[in-house]
Amino acid sequence: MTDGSEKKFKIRAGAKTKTIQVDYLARVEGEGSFIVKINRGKVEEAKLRIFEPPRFFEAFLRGRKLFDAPDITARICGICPVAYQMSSVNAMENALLLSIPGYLQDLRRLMYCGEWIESHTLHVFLLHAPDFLGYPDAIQMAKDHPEIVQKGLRLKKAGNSIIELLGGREIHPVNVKVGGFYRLPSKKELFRLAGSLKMAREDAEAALEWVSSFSFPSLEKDYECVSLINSERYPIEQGQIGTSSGLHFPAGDFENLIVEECVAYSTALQTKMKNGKTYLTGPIARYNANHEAFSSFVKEKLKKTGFEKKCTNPFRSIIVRAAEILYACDEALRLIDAYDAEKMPASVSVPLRKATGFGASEAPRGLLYHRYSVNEQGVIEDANIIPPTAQNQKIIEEDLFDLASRNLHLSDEDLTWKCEQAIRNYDPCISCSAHFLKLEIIR
Amino acid sequence: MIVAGIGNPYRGDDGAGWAVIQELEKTADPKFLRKCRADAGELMEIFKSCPAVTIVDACLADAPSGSWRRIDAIEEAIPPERSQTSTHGFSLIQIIDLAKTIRQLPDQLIIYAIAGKEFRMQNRLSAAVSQAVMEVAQTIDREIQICMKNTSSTI
Repeated sequence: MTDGSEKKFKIRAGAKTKTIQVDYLARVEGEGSFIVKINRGKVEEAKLRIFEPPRFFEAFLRGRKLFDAPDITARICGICPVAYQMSSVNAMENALLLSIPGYLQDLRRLMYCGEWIESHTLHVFLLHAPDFLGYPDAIQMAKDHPEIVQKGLRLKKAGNSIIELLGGREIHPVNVKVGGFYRLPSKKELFRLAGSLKMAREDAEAALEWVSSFSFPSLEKDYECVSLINSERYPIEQGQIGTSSGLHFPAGDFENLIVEECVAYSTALQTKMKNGKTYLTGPIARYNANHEAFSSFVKEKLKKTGFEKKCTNPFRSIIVRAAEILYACDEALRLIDAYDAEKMPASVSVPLRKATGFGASEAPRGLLYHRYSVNEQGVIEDANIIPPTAQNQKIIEEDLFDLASRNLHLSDEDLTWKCEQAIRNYDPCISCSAHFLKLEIIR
Repeated sequence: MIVAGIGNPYRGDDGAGWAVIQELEKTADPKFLRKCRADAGELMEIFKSCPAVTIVDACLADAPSGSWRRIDAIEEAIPPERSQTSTHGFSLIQIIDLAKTIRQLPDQLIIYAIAGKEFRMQNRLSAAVSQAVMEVAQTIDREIQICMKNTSSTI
C-alpha cells in the first residue's frame, strides 16, 4: 500500500497531448498499471496493463489426475481459493455425470460464504473505503475511524474461520474433493462458529448503512451483465449462466458466447462476447440479475438504505459488496442451523470416464469458469480457466475512457486519483487473471 | 510470549521465519509458536492474544545476507520499506502501523529481521541464512528461558 503523499504517477505533456500513467496500481492484488492518452482535449486511449508474469496453470494441470484439480487450482489465488476449488469440482462432476447430494452442496455453499465474507470485507473496509473517505490508505483511515477497521478485521476473521473449519486451513484449503469433501464437520464444530457469525452479521449490517452514506462519483453505464442466475437463492457455488440481454444457458455453452483474445500489453487474456460487445461480471452483474433472491432480511436492510434495484454506477459496487457480505453472514447462519449431516458420507464415489466437463461459480469478483477434458484413467488432457478479472479488463478500460473523458477539467493529480478509484471498483485480482492459454514464440 | 515466524518456505530465504520456528519446536512448547503469512487479521489476533510477541521475518537489506537484527518495535523506529507497491495483503510494517493506530499492539513486540539473498521459487535457504536461522533460534530460545524463569505462568 502506498502513502498518497509519495504516490508516483507520470504526466507527460506536449503542446497538444498529455499522457497520464500510473506504473504500479495501489490497493489491488498483483501487478498492473494504467495509461490514459489525451490529445487535443479528447481521450484517445485508456489501457489497463497487466504485466504480472503468466502462470501457466492450465498447462500444469495437463497430465495430472482429475482429483488434483481442486488443490492445484486453489493455489491460483490466496484470496479466493474456494472459488477455484468449487468451479473445478463443478466441472469435473459435470464431466463424470456425478450428482452431489444436497447436504454436500450446502456445505460447499457455506464454505463459499466464508470466502465472500473475507474477500469482500478486505476490499470494502481496507482497500476501497479509503477512496470514498479521502484517505490514501487504510492506515490513515484508521487514525480517524479505528472502530471501522476493527469491525472489518472482526468480519474478515469470521469468514476465515468458516474456511478454516470446512477447508482445513484458511488459505489454499485442502478439504474439498471431486465428489464431496474429505471430512465433514461435526454439528458442534459448526455451532461454535455461530456466535462470531451473529456478531459478523451485525457488523455487516452496520457496514451496509455506512457505505450507503458515501458520496459517489457520477458514472452511469448500461453494462451487458453476465453472472450465474438463480431465482430461489442468490447464486454462489453453482448454477446456470445468464446475461442481462436475456440469454440463459449451462456453463458448457459459455465458450460459445465469448472469445478470449491476447493483447500486446497484458499477460492476461481479455474476454469479450463473440458479437464484439464487452460485458461485466462481478457483484453488480450478480445483483442486477438476482437481487430478488436475497433473503428477506437482506432485502429489508437494502430497502432501508434506498439502494436501487438496478445498479449502473460502478462506484456503487461497494454497496453491493456490503449487501453480499450481509447476505453471506445470514446465509451461513441459516446453513449452520440446518446442518444435520455429520454422520452422512463425506463424498460420493467417482466413476471415471472420458469426457469434457464445464463448471462455473461466482467468485467474489465474478463468474469463474473452468473446462476440463479427462480420459478414462482420470487424467486431465486439456484445461481452460477464465477468471473474472480477465473478463472485466475491457470494461475497466471503457470505464477509464469514459471517466477520463468526463473529467478532463480536473487537475492531473485528481484525474489520476479518480482513474485509480475506477479500477478499484472492480477489486481486480491481477494474479488470478494472468493465465496465458497459449504461448507462441516466433523467431 | 508468542513467537511468530513469517514467510513462505517455497520462496528460498523467505522461509527463514518458518525455519526459526522449526528450530524452536525442538525445545519450546509448540503451542506458543506460530507459522504465519503476513496476514493482517492473523497477526492482529496474535497481538490481541498475548502481551509479549516476537516476530521473525526475512528482509531485504543493504547488509550482507545472513546478517540479522533484533528490533524493539515498541521503542525503536522500524526501517522503512523498500517497496511501495501494494497487494491485497499488508506488509509487516503496515500491519504494525495499523495495530499501533487502532491501539492493538502488544506491550512488547520484538522483530528479528534476517537479511536474505535468494527469494526464487525453491524450498531451501541460502547457506548464510541457514546459519542466521540457527543463531536467531538460539537467541530466542534464551529469551524464552529467561521469560519462563521470570514468570511462573506460561512462556
